Amino acid sequence: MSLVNVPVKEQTAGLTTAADAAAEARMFRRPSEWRIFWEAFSQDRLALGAATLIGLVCLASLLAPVLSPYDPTVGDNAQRLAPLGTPGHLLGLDGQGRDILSRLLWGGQVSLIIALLPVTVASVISVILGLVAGFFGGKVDMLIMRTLDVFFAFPAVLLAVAIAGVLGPGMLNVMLSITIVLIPYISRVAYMATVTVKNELFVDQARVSGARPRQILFHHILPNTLSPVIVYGSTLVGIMIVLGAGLSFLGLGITPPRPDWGIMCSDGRNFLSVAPHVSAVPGIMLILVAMSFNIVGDGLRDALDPKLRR
Amino acid sequence: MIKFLVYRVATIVPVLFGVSIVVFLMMKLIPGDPAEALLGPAATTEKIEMVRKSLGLDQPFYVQYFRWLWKVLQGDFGSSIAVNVPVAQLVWPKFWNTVLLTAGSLVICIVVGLGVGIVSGTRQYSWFDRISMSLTLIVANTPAFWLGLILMVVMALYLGWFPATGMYSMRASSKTWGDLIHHMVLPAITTASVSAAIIARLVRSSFLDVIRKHYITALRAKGLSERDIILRHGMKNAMPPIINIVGLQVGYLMGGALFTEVVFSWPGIGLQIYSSIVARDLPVVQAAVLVTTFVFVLVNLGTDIVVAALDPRIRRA
Amino acid sequence: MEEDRPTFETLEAAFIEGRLSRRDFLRRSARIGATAAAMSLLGSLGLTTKARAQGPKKGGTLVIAKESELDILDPHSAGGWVTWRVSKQMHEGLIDEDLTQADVPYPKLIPKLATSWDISKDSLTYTFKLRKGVKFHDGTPFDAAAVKYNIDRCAAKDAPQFYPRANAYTTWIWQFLKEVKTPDEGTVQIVLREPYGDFLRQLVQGGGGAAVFISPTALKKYGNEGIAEHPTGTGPFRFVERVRGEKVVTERNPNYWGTQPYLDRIIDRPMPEPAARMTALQAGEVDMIYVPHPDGIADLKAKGFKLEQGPAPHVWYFAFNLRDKNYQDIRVRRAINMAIDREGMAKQLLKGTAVAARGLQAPCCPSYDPNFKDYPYDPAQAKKLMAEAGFANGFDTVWQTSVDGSGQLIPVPMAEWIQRDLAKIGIRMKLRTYEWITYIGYWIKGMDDASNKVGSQQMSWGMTSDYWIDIVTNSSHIAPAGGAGQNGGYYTGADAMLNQARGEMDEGKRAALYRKINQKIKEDAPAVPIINDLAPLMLSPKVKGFVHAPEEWYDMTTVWLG
Repeated sequence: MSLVNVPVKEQTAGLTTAADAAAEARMFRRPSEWRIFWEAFSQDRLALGAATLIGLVCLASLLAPVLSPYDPTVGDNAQRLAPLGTPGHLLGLDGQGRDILSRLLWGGQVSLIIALLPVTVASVISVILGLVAGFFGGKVDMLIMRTLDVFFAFPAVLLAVAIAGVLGPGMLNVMLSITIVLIPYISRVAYMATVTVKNELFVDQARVSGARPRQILFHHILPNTLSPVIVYGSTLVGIMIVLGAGLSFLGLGITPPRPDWGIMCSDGRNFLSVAPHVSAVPGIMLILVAMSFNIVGDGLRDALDPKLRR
Repeated sequence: MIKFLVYRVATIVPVLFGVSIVVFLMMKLIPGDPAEALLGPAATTEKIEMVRKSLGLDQPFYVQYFRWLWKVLQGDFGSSIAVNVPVAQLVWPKFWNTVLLTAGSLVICIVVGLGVGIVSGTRQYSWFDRISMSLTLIVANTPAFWLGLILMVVMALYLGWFPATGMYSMRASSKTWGDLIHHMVLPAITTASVSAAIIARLVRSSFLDVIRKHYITALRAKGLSERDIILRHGMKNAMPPIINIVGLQVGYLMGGALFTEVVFSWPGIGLQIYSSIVARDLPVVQAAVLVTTFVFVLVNLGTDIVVAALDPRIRRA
Repeated sequence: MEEDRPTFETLEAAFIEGRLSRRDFLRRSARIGATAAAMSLLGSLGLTTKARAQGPKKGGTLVIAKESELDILDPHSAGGWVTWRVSKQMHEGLIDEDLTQADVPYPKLIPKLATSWDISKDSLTYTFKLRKGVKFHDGTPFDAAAVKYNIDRCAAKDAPQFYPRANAYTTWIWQFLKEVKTPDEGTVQIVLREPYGDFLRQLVQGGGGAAVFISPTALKKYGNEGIAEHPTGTGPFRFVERVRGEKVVTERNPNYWGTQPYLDRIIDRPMPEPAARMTALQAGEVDMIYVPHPDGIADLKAKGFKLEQGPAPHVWYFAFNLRDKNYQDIRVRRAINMAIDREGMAKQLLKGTAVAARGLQAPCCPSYDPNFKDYPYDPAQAKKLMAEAGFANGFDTVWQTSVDGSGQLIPVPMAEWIQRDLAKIGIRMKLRTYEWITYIGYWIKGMDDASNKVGSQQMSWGMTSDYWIDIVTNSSHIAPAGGAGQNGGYYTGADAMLNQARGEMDEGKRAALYRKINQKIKEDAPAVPIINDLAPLMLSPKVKGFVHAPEEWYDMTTVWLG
């Protein structure tokens, strides 16, 4: 897993460069650009499809209590390990006779939340940190960014595993661990966007004197910082879905009996040769959803970037 | 260049300090008392106190930190709580095992990543390009542990072409390179998969980016062969971001190898960290995380320097 | 070895001169079709083993996958069956259990480093006559001084070699020790302060610290901490090397005083993931695995692997917090005992790798009664009892267990099964889980500690010693007074009987007393026993001679590879 943006289309990847952030900042100065963004995004059929998939999955998981045909924690031992397409159990049964489709739906709640919530919370915190550091500069900047550099120094997976391991299993702990790991990365994006816009605006301000710097800056910097963060964040959600599942796979995630896709993969390890679908199905789900977030993230960036408009 | 070097090296020191503090604090947050865990069912309050004292757990935090740090700088990572050996003895051999795995994965990463990326980049929209881009998108989003399981089932259990677990054959009287490589194939592919996919995409887009630049058209107009353009100019300009990403991927490889090591029981530092976390063996987790992070920081420093050497613009930033 | 075509004569010469092992000699003779001649040569040299067609063969390396990493290899200071299974092959004590018999209710006590023993009339002095000519792996002779040196390490607080950790782990063995006398180098007298009926049975236990002997020379040389890296006993196997997280290698002890094992080497590999163990077995990378996941067993059996299981001194149980007002009414506790479908769990969840427990006393000890009548599975009656106790609408409670651990089987699915059964009689149980080592920390605190208030907590273990039930239910063993809070519930109902049984020296009478105790415990229901594990393990077809004795560890000297 890399927290570096993976481009779908032709575009130099990597952390948002200063130039891109500036371009995005420029663009957002005119509110009518929102409409242009939406048109650009909706023309990107792949991104639209991915977004729809995500929407469907989220909806299905949200409605799990209604949609789920069976109780995901109750097993029918007589039909253990039933394969795909068993009558009454479209995706078969797992090692304890629990319906896989039901577990997939309910598990989606957990797998999605442990990605969405930490990314959101980390984004909020990161935007604040990046704004404060970038705007005030000087000592504050150094203090914040150097501290974040320390966390940046850890390989992300290692840090997540270490923190989750230290805190112990449980949904809250997993989310906390992921949030901590994310903050340095998103902060850096927010920080760079803030710094670029700030520099540009000061240059302009020098010419157009008289306006109150603080208000205008908050009016302009914040939205211009938000957009790269949103783009980065949406790709991150996909990556965090995989990481969250990985932590659950290691037993460092949520505690049973709640299912999530990572635990489902891990459960199936004991019967890989007899009933591979028990592990394979949640894995495929993970791939699909992570991929979709990835595509949407790239779609967002393309739609927001004036350079790519054809 | 020298100034840049000095500056970059100097910034590492406070970072490493910070890392050590974070690692130290992290382990102190673990719930559960190691002394109790050590004694198990036979514990009484007085015995617990005895063991806590012998582990130095009765001192205030900062005293413990500086004691620990001083020892670490001398190479003494303390004794493993669970297994009573010097942690260094435990950690270093595992670390080298992970380095081996990471090296193997890096080779696959670079060869596959560069290969696929260059071919796709130079043949945009061809069937190869489309298929490889779809595949890399899927692989980049595939959980490493899942891929490892699939590979294990198919290649090791079903087909029997590769061993399923471990680093060397247990029965062999000596360790040979051939045995090692045979055991490394599946784990290395698993570890390398995501990074190789990312690198392939990156190489491709870097290439396209560069190729689109005007001066390449100018070079073409001048009559340089396609091959020359790709190899000399295209590569040279695409290299810095690629090296940057490769450097970051090494960090991922070392961390991501953890999942592979757990699935394939590869006796590396990732597996050690995992088992030590489960066993609440603080000194080992501390040392392992510290060592791995330290190396990661150095590798990043290395790539930064290499990139700066190649691209003068970065130095001035 | 010459690779040009050998003749039988050259092979014969090479074999007799010692340049060819017997196995290779046979193999190469077979290749040139001279097997009959080879066999007769071996026969005439007395080198064939008489027995059935496929007699045991010497040689080979057995690779075992264990369910967790081993503790330190200091037998006095380590706990857990996983470690003891290895340490026991290298270290011996005065007496031992006969683990070559599988079909007995509990293992017989046999002489080991002591050739005979007797107990004084006042039941306080045990006199052991030591075996002559025994040497430790490092050549140090075994004698009475070595015995005293070892016991002092565990029990004599002012001895220079005293080791607190060893003392903590061997508590129950030496708890009544007064002194150790060595009248001559071939005799040891162990004097107790009070009669301890199960003392001999405690001497052969290994789940905690064990009463085996380490070479005093080695102890002096490596020290109390270092000895774990250089285990030096008198056993049939001796230590070769250990790579943490990878393997422990032991090899045949060529100077062993007793029957030589067949195996050349044993390699123990810790592989904590059940899936990884089973994969390794399937791929032929290991020959034997412990704790296969119940779900994978049928698959492995179909592929030709052997399942070995049998009665073992193990009970998986939940103890109640008797300070929690929900559990103070005996009817509630009995109701819970009746509400749980143990048979169902054993068959469906654990796939027959365990059986429903009957009573709290673990199997494979003299007082265990296989016909003991425990509570029947009767949810209707349970509901009635709950109503009588005033809990017609049930209550909410918190139970806790670990997510894994030695002997814990698959604790979470099992606890969830119980959760569902309890729900049917109105008890809404919330399950709290911890990883193993953290869990032990909480378990020790007892269920009424401020940091750990739960209605019930789970544990699993057992011993081939009747005294085990005392450890579990005698209120004197509750934290923080001393020892572990096994009971954790302040149950005193059996104390008087337990204290009496402890001092009873006659085996028959003692067993009868403990049976009465078991009955009392059933009636008072301070706990709910659930399952007896059958200690399943799986073997590759080429592993032969393995005996699944009614213990949690085994004699590896009978194992051979064919």
